[in-house]
Amino acid sequence: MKTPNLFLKIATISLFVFLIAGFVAYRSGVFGEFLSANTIATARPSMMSLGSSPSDSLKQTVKKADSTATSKPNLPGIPESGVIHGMERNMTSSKSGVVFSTKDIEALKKGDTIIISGKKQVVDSAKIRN
Amino acid sequence: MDITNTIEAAGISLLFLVLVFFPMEKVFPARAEQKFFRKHWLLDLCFFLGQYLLWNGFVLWALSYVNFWLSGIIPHDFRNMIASESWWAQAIEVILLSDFLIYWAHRLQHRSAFLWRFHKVHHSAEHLDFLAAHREHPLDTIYTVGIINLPALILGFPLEAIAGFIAFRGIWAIYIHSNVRLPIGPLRMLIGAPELHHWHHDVKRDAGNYANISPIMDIIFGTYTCPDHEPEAFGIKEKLPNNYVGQLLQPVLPTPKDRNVKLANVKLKM
Repeated sequence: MKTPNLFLKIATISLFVFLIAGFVAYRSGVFGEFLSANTIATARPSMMSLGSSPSDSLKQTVKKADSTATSKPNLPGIPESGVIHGMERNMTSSKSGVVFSTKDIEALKKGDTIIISGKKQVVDSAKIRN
Repeated sequence: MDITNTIEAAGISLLFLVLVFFPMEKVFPARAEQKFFRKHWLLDLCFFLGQYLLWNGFVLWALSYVNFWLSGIIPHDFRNMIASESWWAQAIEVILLSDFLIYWAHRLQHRSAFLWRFHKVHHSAEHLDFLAAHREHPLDTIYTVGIINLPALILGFPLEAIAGFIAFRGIWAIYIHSNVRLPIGPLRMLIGAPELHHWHHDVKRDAGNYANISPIMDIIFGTYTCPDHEPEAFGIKEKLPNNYVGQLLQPVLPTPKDRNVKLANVKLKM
């Protein structure tokens, strides 16, 4: 095989670094913030897969039912901003204790009350991005 | 999730990987004689598509289920204690614990006959490149992904906080399988490199370099190896079908040895 010249080597490394940096930025949500104020991109915590795109994830914005609560929600996968990710969609209802399916989440409306890991929350808006 | 979106995501991911790795493998090849469309590339493409179109959802569901189950049994006081720590301390704890667990879990995959049945599918690749990185039995993926994420799930650490780091490690994990030799000096002891992981895929099963990403655990536990040349051959000594369905089924089907033991038991009962 013919040895590639220096220019080609530098161009290839630049492309590699540029694309990986772009991918990391994309998966960490930098682009997502430009696209929508209500959603953030997530990186799936798999090490072998690029995974589904952020737009595939189920995203809902909720706000705390108790406006006086000031402590951190401290729920895995649910940051302080109150964004619930697709991975965290297993929620139990306060009455029956059943696990919500994706279909149930799609049916959620503004004002509905849900219990997530023991904390009462009111749905502010719920939508699935396609 | 819409099937169209899934197919679109798989197509874009494949295009992205080709854009990133094709030039790298051409300009900095570890094995210059290896072609892009090498033997069994179609099989690895099946694994890639299977992972994106079929198994990712299943793995995500399993992980979500474990997370839900853990949320119920982990005391809130414990999680509050962890949450009271600074963000960077939590991140370091999660990353180190994750690396520690996956290192030993990976060694166990090579030691335990049961786990090796599934893990050998990944090691059966005789040609390494970015596509071969995706050759993995779905149950092996659940095991690996579950263990990697276990510390974060137990401690209640939101992985979104280190999304950029996870994304980098995700693509680096594919890079270390690629047919690239581009030494990065001592940095490889921190983030890993193809020349290290290629030795892990040496046809001799226990060559070392078990850490999936950062070789720190290999250095600590004495399994770090970095010869200045490529291994002679990749793959495994055992026979495995050369088709997708065969590779998925073989680990879950009883081996002739298992059948013989069962027959012997039946005869003894008679």
